[in-house]
Amino acid sequence: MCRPSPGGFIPDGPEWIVTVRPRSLRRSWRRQALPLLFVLPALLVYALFILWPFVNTIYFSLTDWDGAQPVKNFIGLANYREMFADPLMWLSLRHNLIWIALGTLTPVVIGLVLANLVWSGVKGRILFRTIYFMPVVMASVVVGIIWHWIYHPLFGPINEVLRAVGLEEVARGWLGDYDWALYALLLAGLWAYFGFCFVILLAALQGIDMELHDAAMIDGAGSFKRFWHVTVPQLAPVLTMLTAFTLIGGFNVFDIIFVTTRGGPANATDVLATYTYRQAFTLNEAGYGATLTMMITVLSLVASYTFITLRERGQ
Amino acid sequence: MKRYLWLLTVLGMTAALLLAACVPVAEEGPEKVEILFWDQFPDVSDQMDALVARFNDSQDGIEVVRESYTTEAMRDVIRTALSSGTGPDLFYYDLGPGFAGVLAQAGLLLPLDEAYTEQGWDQRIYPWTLARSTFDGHVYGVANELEFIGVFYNMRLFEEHGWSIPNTWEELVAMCGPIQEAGLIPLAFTNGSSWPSYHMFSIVMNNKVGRDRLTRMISGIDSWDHPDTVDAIQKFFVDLPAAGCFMDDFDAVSYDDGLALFQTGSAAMLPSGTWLVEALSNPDYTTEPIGFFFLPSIDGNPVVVPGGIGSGWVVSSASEHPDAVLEFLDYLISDEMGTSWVTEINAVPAYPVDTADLDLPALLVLALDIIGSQAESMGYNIDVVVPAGFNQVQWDSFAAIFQGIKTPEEVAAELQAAMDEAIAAGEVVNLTE
Repeated sequence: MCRPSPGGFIPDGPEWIVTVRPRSLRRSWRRQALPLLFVLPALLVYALFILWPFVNTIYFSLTDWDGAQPVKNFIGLANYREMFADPLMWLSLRHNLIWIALGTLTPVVIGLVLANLVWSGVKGRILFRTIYFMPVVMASVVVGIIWHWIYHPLFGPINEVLRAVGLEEVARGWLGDYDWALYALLLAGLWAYFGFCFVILLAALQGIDMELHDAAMIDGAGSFKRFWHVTVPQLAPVLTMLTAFTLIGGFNVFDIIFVTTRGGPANATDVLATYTYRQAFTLNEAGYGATLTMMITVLSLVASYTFITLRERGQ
Repeated sequence: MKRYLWLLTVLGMTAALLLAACVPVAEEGPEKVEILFWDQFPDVSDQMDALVARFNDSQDGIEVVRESYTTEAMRDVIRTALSSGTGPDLFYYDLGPGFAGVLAQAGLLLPLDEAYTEQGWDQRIYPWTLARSTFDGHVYGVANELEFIGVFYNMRLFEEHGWSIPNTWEELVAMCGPIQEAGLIPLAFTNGSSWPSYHMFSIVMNNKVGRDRLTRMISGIDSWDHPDTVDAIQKFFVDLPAAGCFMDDFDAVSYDDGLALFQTGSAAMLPSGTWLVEALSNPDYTTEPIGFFFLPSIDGNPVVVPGGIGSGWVVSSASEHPDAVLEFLDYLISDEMGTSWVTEINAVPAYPVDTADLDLPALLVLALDIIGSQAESMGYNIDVVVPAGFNQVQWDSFAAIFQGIKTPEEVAAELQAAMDEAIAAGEVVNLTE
């Protein structure tokens, strides 16, 4: 005999209920709990080092904390109102956007072209890979010192070359020039980063389906068409990942600017991260610094999400 | 068999541990109290280590552990370290309201009022220095390393070319042309690191408005948005570069490079402070004979020595051994240490030191004489006594003037706006009281 139940019909009889259903439940619980148990340590670490500070940052952004006082006065959205009216925040954001516009696509394109050239069978592949990747393993401080020397107004090689070829009027104190300092730093940043894109793309090229290449060649496609229509589509997931990664990096750029110009001269190289640092640690405005941090986080999330969504929709 | 071997090994190790525990250990002296001490003397680290070792050797109950930081690194970590309870017991820090003042107001520093009277420091230290580390009516710091700013000059070059020390601002500006024609840099001022412009503003303002009025301006009583401020800014930040007194691209050249140009005889003058005495009098670093003069008179006003406290000693309120810390601090400002500060560190302490029998570099003797005779009437090194927001305006705005994107009038107004903001936030120290 069976009786109706929300899930259908189950047989009558206490034995079935006692002996069969709980065992099934136990199995189901084990099936669900065991993976959770494995994930738990990582989850705890994530919660402790990512979620908890993030929640704290949101809280700090709603206070007037100076970074030292034990008391944090709740001031609601006052910091957010101040931020949107702060001209230096907008100037810093503008610099971030310039960095992103020029600094996101350029290293990916350079990396893609170089990876394709090396992949196509050029001699000295390991040597090229090592040379291109070398700036990536350098600490930002080292990169900053190298470029500080390259741009040095008195004896830097760039100015020396310009003077040697009769372009004295072009030579200048690159990192002290209001109009050029940001672009000078951007170039240094690109130099330090394109090797990363190169190595990732070179690795991705190893997984390219050569049969498609051969088929395209038989169909009469030239090398550029094969590259554009066969290679690039197969690299799409990696290109998406790299672009998203670089995009987020564009909002978070800090170290190379901090060790070279500290945002100067006259805020010419200030980006959101250096401005945030100054507010929080130099001007004792930790609450406002947290608000700027929230701004960086939101911008990074929105930009990455939008880019990845558009990319997936395109695919 | 293997199992027995394993058992025997475990038993053997346990027995060894038990025996070790029963063996009487050699009698040790009383346990020493450990003090964590952070300073900002990485350049003279060996000398500082020796001074600390001397104190440790003289003590049965205190062991000072020294760690050295750069100024920037100290500013970056100190708040977090103190707030988390892992910071130093005693540290060397800027005594201004934007630095030690913030820590004091957060309750992270130990008030030293009682220590001053009990240890007799109030009789030893120059009394005017107390006001610079007093917040909410309590003294939180002990000044160390007094310094002032002026112009170092290359005596050989001056003699060879027949140049003489300028007595007026106009004479100084007029010197730039001939010095440039001689193929030299007139003033090795550089602003690649932005902070040197603070000091230049200080030396011009001291001579322009005088000590008393500057005291009122720093205290938030008189306005910075005034034609005199505009004129002071105009003179140094607009007129001097226009007269060719600085090198090309001076705002992209680092402070150290400017110093190197002066040390090697490529520049005739270097406007800077007495913290360079060691670098400019030690023949290992500078072979040129160097002299010193104060920025000449502006508009016939008297020359005011822009000086102040480099930094000072402050004690963490969380220190578990405040008595031991105060004992070490007493050593740091003792007569014995006074001589060491002068001879080993080449710094001018904030209390009189008998240097009669010491063989000191001429520049250092000059610095000691000036501080000894003018300590009470000295002007201000402005950035040391103003809030952080005011300094930030100096940092950004003077660079903006050099870049031609701000005028002296705009900067004077910005300085006053920063001062108004600091007054509203209770960050301004009243130096008139």
